[in-house]
Amino acid sequence: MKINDNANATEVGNAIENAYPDELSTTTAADQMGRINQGLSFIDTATWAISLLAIIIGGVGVINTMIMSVYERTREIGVLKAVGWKSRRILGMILGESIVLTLIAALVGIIVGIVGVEVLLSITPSTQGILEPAYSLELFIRALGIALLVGIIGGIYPAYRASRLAPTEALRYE
Amino acid sequence: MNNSENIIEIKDLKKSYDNGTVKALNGIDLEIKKGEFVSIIGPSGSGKSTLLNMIGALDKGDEGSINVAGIDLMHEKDLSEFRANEIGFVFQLHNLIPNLTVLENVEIPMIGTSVSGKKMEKRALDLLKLMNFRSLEDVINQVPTKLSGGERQRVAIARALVNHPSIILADEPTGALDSKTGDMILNLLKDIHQKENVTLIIVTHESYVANMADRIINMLDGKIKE
Repeated sequence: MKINDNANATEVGNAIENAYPDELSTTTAADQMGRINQGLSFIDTATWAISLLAIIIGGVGVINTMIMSVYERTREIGVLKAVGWKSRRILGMILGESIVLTLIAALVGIIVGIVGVEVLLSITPSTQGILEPAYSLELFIRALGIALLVGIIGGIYPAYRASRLAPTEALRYE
Repeated sequence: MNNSENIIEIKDLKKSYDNGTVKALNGIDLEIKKGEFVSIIGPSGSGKSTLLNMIGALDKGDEGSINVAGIDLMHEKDLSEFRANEIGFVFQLHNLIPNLTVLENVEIPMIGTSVSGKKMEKRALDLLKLMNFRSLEDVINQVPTKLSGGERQRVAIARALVNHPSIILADEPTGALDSKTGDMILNLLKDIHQKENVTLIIVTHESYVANMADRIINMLDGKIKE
């Protein structure tokens, strides 16, 4: 139902419901918009929560991977110390590896994400025209930025451990 | 240093492990001249490898003094530069990095120094040429796991020499090799010692290896036997 520009939609709706009790119910476009907004905001919050969970799981994964890498390469780190590598160079090496690992993972994730969305849209034609994916440069920069951060945070502890290894103990490691 | 000819001066050096229960070095006094070839011999647990690690600044003593190439190793905080510039290590198990090529393994000690990439490669290749490989071209791009024990040890020697060290420390360099290959490695080390006038210290428990040196130091229970 269309109403005049100067009319109050809520009052008109109430008047209709009062005139036809138990027969008609009304809802305004503003109410509908509010409900849609509420739904979208819920989806947005859920998306952030899932993203945060993915970041935490990714970060733990990076820490675990890099700690295992440092363990496996303990003897190698001992050799690097024996030939005169400074602790901060070893720290930089492990941290660099962690960052490269997460950035590669982010690029793979972006590609898999885009392909996944396109595949999902193609197999569910009913969503076409309603759900349109938006790939903005800002989104990709944000994703790579988060990956970089996860790489740094996840790599710091293993890198610090590697840099603090005593050369003789590292060389004895089997 | 008190005596300018001495490259190593150690006085009453002590080192213990496990809260003092294991005395690895129990008052070592030692002087080694620049360009000398010294072997350290003794049974397992006599402290010879610990002494070598102290000279190479891989470990620090608890008491006494140790001065190597003019550096007070007991009080110097960052010893990485000392290790890079003054010491070349040759280990029993070569300790090459398995996922790097032979050439990259030899270049490793130069990373982070002022030597440029091309000079690094040239220096590494020049040293590998001295190591008497049958076909250098076939070897340089191989990973160490594809090489024989003797070839790996020769790569390790090239790596030890790459930064022009004043001292080569070899810990049982022939321990994992057959006698023929071991002799070849020892002759190579002796040759380098003579040509480069580098101080060579070999830790061994084999008397025929020790006898090749200018001086033999006998160790027992963390002390030098007179």
